[in-house]
Amino acid sequence: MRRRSIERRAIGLVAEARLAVGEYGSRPLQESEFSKLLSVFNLVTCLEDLEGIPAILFPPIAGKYRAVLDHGLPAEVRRYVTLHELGHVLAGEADEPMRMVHTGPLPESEDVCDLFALLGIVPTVDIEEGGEWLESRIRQLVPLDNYGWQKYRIPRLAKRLPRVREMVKDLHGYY
Amino acid sequence: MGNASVWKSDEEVAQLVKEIREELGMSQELFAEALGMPKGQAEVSRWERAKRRPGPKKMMTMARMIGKDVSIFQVRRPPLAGVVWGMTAATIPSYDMRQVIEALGTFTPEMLRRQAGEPGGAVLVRAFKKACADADWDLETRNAVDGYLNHLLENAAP
Repeated sequence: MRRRSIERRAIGLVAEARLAVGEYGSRPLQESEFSKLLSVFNLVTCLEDLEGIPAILFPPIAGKYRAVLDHGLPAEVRRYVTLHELGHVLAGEADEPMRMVHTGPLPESEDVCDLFALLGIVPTVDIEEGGEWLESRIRQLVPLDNYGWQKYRIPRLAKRLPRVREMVKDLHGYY
Repeated sequence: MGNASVWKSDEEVAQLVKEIREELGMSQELFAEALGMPKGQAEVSRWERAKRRPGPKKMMTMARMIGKDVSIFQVRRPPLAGVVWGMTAATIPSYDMRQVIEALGTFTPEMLRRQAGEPGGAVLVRAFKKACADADWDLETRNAVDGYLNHLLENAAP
């Protein structure tokens, strides 16, 4: 099967999310939309000391997907991390036996879920500005320094996000 | 407590996929599209030749397409005795492994057991325990799951 690009895979997740929240990806989510997304896709979250891991997603337990977030995550980052984990759920990656704690190079699907999550929190105006501005805005919105996350992932996400945002505009009528 | 359900073998799943598709009178291409996989004909073909297995979500959808539930892809196993997930009956503590498997699904207990032994395993099991905290189980099931997780935690890698 032909391999789909990371951007296209992220758009696939946006299309799925739009089954619950029609505007997903066109602007940052409102609180009620965020709750609706989690409820429709059966994802619940809780906090625990994960010793340096931002989150761990588990397959359905008693009918619900469960994401455990590190209790040290800043409150404003929890939404981003939760959306990232929801991306894995939408991609069907939480239904199969999997390695729940990654060590070594991250699989491509992490980038896909990052892009999906960023579309739910980064204001359109920042995405359209692109370049270094977008890079710095992502660093502000998702301060995950303590998790060793930004160094590797933000530059490539900032490069891809405007392209994905453009593709989202073509999704009208998809849902 | 009933017997545990486990997924059918690759060959049985392959046969079932083919039967469902034929019952619906669909080509592999159309079937893939109905399953939300446009251009997924090759994947359906791999499923039918037992080269790959469809995921649980897809199996659930296929079962629904012919008005059944996912249990058509499963077999009921007799009560487990002797070796269970790598532990002998003699070493199984007080919890009932069948209940654990029924509560957590067929692959989760084994997956946790495997990963508990790897670096970071203790964090993983602790997180799982927290994730299960509000699961709506009866007391017997809750005790079985907690017993299993405590057992894993005691033997987990830091």
